[in-house]
Amino acid sequence: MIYLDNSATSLPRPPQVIRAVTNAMEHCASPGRGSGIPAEDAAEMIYRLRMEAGRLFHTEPEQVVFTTSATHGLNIAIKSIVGRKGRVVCSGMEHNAVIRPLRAIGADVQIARGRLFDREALLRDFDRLLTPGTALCVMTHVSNVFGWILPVEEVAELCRRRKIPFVLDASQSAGILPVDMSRLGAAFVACPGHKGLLGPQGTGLLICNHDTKTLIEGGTGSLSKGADMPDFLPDRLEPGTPNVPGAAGLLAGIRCVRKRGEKNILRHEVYLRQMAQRGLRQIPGVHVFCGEEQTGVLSLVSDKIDCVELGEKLARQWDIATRSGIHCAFTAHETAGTLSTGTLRISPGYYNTEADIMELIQAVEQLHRPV
Amino acid sequence: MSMILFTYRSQTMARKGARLLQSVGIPSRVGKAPSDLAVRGCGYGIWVSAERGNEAARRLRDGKILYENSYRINGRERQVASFDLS
Repeated sequence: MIYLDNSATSLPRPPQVIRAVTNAMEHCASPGRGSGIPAEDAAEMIYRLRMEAGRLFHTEPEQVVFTTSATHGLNIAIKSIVGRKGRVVCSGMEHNAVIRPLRAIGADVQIARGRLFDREALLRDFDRLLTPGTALCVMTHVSNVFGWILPVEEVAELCRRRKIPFVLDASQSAGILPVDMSRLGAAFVACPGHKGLLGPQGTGLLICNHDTKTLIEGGTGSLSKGADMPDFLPDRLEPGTPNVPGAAGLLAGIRCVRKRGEKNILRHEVYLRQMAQRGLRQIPGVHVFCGEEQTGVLSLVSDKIDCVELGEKLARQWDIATRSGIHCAFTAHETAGTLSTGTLRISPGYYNTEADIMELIQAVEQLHRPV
Repeated sequence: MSMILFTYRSQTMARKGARLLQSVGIPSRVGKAPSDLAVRGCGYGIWVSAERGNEAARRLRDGKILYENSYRINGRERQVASFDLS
């Protein structure tokens, strides 16, 4: 099986991650609850996760909140900052994890557009839209559909100067691009644990540098005599028993990423993507979406085969896993003009090889041969 | 044997404090704070030997890992007294 859907979730996971999850299931109790070694081990492990994540994002451990996903974190971030009908500016590449919470709270959403991969046009539109009275700017670092690396440092700078809170969706960048919380001056950075950070599904991180509103309330193992949620992080945003095996796996995943190096991982993925785009664009009827600032993610459309059908055929006939359709990001497809067709997305990862890409190209080429 | 207990509402901050003390050679242990000393229930603490109490307190304050309260707890009799920097 050739797995080229790492933008959805990383697969396979490093053996250290699997061992860490199993070890936690065998030895760890719940942190901040009982006395004894199993609870102590769990607590110590989760603290180490906060420390490692803090190093990765250049922040303090207590600002690292363990979530269930980037979506969970983005909901906390957005709802902590924006009231009903607040004015929010975001990019034209956003995932529904940003768009849907904004819709749910009735925000007045202004979308900074520009052509796909046109950095300057996008910056001009952000400059135009980030006006006084804007409650929040939220943007994705990297498009999950097209791999476009957006100019987040420049937009964050605009927000700092205009005193507009900035939230970064690092779902597709954590683990491959530097995300420096303090340099960005972001209010929040959200990411999943199971993509570039190589951890298990059901994990995520929210890095906080802003007052927070709780999404859910419950026991925290702290200040238990009171009915109010603690007013300090991370406890305030972590009610209930945490996903301890998930945290163990995520800690192991982050250590893998730091050991290998974000730059090396990105270089590998970009190399494979460039190989794929060179081969695929040779195939008559296949159009790939490429730009200068792009990660390993690549989308394509075909004049001859519906993209979902193409994805299904690649899976059934060649055992190649990709993702087709709208990718939970209709705004990105609106911007690129692919909303009616969708795209087929290839996202190589940590374990993919040149041979995987060669096979993909051959498979797509065969499917486009005249019958 | 006397111990000094620095109490925290947050386990995360208690562990951060213990790491700081470890980095400067002061052994410590993180545990739950005794019920009578965790006024609002379920607090945490850093335990250090009394001999290192003053130094630990200074390090924690300088590192801005501020504790809620500090106590001297004497051995088996478990006499508890407030502990202040001297």
